[in-house]
Amino acid sequence: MQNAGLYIHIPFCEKRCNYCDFFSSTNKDLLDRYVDEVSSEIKRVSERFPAKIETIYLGGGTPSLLSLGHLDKIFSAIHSSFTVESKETTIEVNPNSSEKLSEYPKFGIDRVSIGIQTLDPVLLKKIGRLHTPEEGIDALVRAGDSFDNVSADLIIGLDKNQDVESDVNAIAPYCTHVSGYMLSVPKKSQIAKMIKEKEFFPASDDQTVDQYDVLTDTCRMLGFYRYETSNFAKLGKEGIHNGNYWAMHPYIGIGPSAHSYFGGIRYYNENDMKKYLSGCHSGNEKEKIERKYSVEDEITETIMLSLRTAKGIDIKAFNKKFDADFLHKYEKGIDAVRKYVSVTKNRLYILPKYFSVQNQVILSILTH
Amino acid sequence: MTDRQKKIRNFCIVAHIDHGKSTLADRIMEKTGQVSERDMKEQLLDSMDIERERGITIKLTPVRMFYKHKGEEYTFNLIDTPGHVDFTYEVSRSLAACEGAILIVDATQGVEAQTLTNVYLALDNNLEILPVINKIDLPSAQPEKVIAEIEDVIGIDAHSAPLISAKDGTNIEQVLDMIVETLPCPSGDEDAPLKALIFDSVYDNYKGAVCNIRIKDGKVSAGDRIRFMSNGKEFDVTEVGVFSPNMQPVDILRAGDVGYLCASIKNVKDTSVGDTITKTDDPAKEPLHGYKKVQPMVFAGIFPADGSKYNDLRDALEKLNLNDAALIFEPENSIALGFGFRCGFLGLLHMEIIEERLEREFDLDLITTAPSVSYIVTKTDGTQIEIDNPSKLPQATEIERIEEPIVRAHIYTPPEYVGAIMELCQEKRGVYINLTYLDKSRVQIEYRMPLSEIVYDFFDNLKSKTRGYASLDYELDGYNPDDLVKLDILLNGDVCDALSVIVHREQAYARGRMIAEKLKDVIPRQLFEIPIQAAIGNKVIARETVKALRKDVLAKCYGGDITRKKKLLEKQKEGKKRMRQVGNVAIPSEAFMTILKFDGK
Repeated sequence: MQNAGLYIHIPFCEKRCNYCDFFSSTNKDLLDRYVDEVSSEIKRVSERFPAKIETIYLGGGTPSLLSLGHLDKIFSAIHSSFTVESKETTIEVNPNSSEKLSEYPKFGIDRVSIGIQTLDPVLLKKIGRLHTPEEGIDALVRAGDSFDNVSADLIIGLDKNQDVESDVNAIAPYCTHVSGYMLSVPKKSQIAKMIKEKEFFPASDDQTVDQYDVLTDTCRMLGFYRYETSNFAKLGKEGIHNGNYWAMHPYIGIGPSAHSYFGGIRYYNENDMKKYLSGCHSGNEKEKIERKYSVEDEITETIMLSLRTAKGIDIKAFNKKFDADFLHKYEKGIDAVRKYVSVTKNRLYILPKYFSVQNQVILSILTH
Repeated sequence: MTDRQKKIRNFCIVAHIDHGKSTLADRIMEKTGQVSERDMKEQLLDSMDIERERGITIKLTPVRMFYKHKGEEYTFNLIDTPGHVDFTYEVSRSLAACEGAILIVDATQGVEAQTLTNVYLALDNNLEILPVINKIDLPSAQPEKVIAEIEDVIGIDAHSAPLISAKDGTNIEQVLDMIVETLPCPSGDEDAPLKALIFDSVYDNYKGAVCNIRIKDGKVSAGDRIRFMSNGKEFDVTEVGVFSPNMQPVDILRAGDVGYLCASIKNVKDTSVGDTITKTDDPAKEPLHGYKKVQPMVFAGIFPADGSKYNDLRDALEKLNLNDAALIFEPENSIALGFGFRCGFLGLLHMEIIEERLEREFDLDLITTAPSVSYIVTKTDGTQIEIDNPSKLPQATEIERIEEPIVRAHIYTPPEYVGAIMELCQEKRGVYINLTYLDKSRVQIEYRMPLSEIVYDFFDNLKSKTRGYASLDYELDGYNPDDLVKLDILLNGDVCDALSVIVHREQAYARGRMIAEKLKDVIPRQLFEIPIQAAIGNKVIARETVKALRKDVLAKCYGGDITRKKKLLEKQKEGKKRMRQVGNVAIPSEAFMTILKFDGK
């Protein structure tokens, strides 16, 4: 039986954040029906993709909007459908719906990821978050009471004067893991409109990278090392579920717009709540299959994803998996970026200094 | 003169661009029933898409029509002419095929640069001029003023000029009647040795090169053996015919006729415009005068944006060349742009047309280098070479002297812009020749100036400084030596050959600075800092820097959805394919174009 990660998408929010263009519903009345359909998808998909589940991740959206009853239903479905040998079960929590934190362990949840984003009250408001900095810290503190693994999400690049150093210093005592994302501005997001109307002034690319350097340095000094582009952890507290994405391990995604990678093929559910609720999803074989998915695609993805991590590409594993000679196949590309990578017989990784321009390095390797 | 000849009128229409030449031609064809209205596309004579879109004529298309006047049937041969300075020679040859010319003047614009150029060409060819005032339907029409202007400026009687609107068809019959009454019929001796003037040639996939001809003397039929008098080549005539407006074979063409001739000629280059065709068994003693070999004036490198399309580009150029003998090209290898072609054109418009046809008809993406002129370089060892590619210029130490082509430019403008125009001409190294008030509202300014300045940005500058009111015409007027230097552009220390230009030493600093600044804007930031330098020889005269790229990373892969990231990567990969590598610097194709563009500064 194949090992796999299980991702459950909960696309419901109290209010959509301004920087988000991901699918989410603010109609909480649908939640009961949604949880039923999720349970049904889990059951059906387990027949199609029988797997031993090693990690579970409830992401969103705002999974902390789920009631204990909902969680009960979902976890019952998981356990009755799959063989579960969980190494890590994570739920994403918003500070303003964090009241059930202490109840989560009984479902087997052993890791929480809390959406702090920033501790600047003005910026928090501007990006449309409903919690205050104090509520953020409070959620982290309470999470620490119930969990050994607490992760905090931060967004950098929100403003040229954003004080990333003080944010990291403030949250570090209460967490074991930090995810720091650079603000991206999706075309259709509220924030794109705000920028256009001069109501919001994000940091420039260069300023954002300056903040990224501050984030990296501050984290390192506090004992969080960067094991992936956006992820920092105390040793041994790295996220396993997300790590499996970058390692191209199989995973099964549940919910509208969720993606699966199983048996070497990528599937995804349509981004359509109505259709989803009427049973259109991977459980019923009505999901989409990524077209023209070839070995070359898989190779590209492997390189692209593994170079996000500090460890980089495991050349031996690559060669074995694709029956190829990585260093020979990409000799010219690697030559062109020699200054920006470290390369040995076994491993190629992007030097920490050049993490923020990794796309260029990856492109050079792939296109020479 | 035979009775047959008395019933023929061979004429053309001359006008400044946009004054309504093609529209009048369409109306004339319509009124003579040559084309049913249903079949008519606007501007029927202009058969190329580009011509129709731009409202300009590039290829000459003759058409034969019949018109009844006072009970007699007359044959009209209308020969359309290109309306642009690039094609002056072609215009002069098509005029030579006619006895008369309809001169259209826009009732709202008056006499313009090309009006005069074309009228003078017509007068040079002893054509009878029939002036016509067009666009009288427009509220701003001032026919009386324009008639006076024609009489003052051109010196021809315009009092009986028909006042027409080609657009809505007003007074077109009057034009047709006056063609019969005022334009002369062709003379020429049917029994003399054959003299046929080639005023155009086109390539036909089945018939080979087709010569559009005017029979000046003698007659020609299928089966005759003919000789081209400029190159001595001989062929057997396979078909003669007329244009109605499509090719329609006839038994014989005789003195005074306009038609076409095919002789299984494989190469359109053998059928030079202006050449005389005669028969081998009874050849004419002298060719018709006025033949000259057309020389390209403007040169540029054309490269496929996608290097692997080199063969496609070659095939496309060869195909265009079948129909356009004025286009010349030879393979060129650039360090920056790879394999492409050095092409020679009659002028800037010709160049634009070729580029556009390559892109449109052959679906090619192109990179074109800055247009250059052809310089005569005298080396220190006394030898002379012609250089039309700046990157081929010898080392400064080997050069004794560089001479550049000079033109005589005629600019027509309302008087209020005289100051601005003279300033511009001085700036462009022009030497003042003359200034004439044509009337109260129009001035003609004459300058001698380097062709390279015209090729660079003179025309755009002129238009912007005079709000489009000034018009320009020019003809080649010899070569002049000047203090010319090669300006190189270095990217990260490497010369980018495709960006080199030859400029006057005094302009080099400003040009170098401008190119460096523009390049700084179009070259994307890369992993390392890129110095951009403009240099004359080893001396750097301008420098800009493209700072190293710092952010190019996708922060998050939500829920295992890596498609976004992959899409971005694919997009970047595509973009990179369109980049050119100079040393280790990637340059987008647009960079080569943007630096050529006039920015109004």
